[in-house]
Amino acid sequence: MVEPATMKLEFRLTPSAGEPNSEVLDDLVKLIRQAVATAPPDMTEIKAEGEFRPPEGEEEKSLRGLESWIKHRIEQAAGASQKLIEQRETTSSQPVGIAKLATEATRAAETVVAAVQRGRLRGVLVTTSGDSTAS
Amino acid sequence: MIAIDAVHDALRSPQPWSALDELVRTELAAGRLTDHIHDELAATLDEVRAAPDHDEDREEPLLDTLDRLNGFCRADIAYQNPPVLPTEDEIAKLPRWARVAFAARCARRSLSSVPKEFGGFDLGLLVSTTRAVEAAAVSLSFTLGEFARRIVEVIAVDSADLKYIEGPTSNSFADYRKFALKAVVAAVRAADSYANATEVFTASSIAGSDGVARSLIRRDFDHLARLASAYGWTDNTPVPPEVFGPLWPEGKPAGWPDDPELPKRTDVALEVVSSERVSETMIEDEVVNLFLAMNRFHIARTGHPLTVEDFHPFLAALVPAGV
Repeated sequence: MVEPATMKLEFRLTPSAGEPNSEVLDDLVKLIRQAVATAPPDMTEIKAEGEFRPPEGEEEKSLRGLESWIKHRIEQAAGASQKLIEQRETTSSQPVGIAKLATEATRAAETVVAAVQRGRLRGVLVTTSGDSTAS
Repeated sequence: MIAIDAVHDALRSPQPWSALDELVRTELAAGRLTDHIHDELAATLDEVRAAPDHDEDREEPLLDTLDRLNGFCRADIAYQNPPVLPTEDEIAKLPRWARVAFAARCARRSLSSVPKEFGGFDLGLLVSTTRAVEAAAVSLSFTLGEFARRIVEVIAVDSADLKYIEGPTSNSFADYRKFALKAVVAAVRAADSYANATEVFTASSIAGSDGVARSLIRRDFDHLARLASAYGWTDNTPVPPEVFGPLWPEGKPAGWPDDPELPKRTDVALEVVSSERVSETMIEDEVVNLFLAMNRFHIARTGHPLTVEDFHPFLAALVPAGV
């Protein structure tokens, strides 16, 4: 079954501190692609082949509201991020810290794939834009 | 081999889940595979049910353990195979192009250990040859001619390499050049031999000549085998390299060289599209859920969080204004 896409959101995720790590950012791109490539074949397909236009008037107001809500909820999650950062610092100072960090990164990678596939199941298709590379 | 008495004892113990866990971990430590342990435990079910003191609650720990062996559970509690290379028999059970994709992945892993500045060595040629094997697993066809010629050109640089490649598998990482040549030649031979399991096994043996790599190759293989089984792949199913994900989701080992193909990235640009049936609340949930997952991964690897920038919404041009 194929459903045409009616809305598209474009945004970028950037590190909020520290130098961008190309390797880690590229791994995130690969995880998104992995999720798309390994999605169950019987999932509904969402086609985004037609043209898209910026919203106008009331549409714009509504979609700006969506943007605000998303940003608000992400800001609310800053506390959880801080906790993860502190946990990482504690773990890295332990004798078996490197192994634990590797396990956490592997599990987090699985979570990214699961998040993309969960979205797909609910009618939301996530892809990466190839032009985010810079030489 | 797990004895039925050991299973009965575990199920009658005050902590049956822990007792069964101990049984399974003993078998895994002996190098046995989750599939084999699963089949053995599953074969005890009838006898467990036939026991005079049996009740349904008692078999729950056994069923849960079987699920953990099968992977029908949360990823973090699933049993993982020990770091042993897949056997030829296991490889032979994969569909044809999954075998080719696996051989190419093994070559990728071997190439990832090669420092790009390694003298007198055309790494680019080997990378592009590996890419051709990956592409073959998508297009479902492989032509040896051009790639064989290219590889022979590389081998001709040092005739000693040819002898080395024809010889037994080396366990040494010292000679990167020969190691990478062998890995790529094995992948090419795998693609050119109707994905002969022996050739694919050679590719994995070369790439897995190191303990760390061996566990990762086992992980790649198990992942592929699970997908092939779950989705009913056939000998005509294309298998793109993307199914494997990053080579090192946990971060590459210390001292490993940089990937020569790594693009310089400063961000991850995403597109999220949704169909008509999806409400704004659902989109909001999915975007936030995705962000949290990506942020967790980024923190795990770098210690720094992510932030959202340049948010732009669009509507399908055919949707009437005001909808």
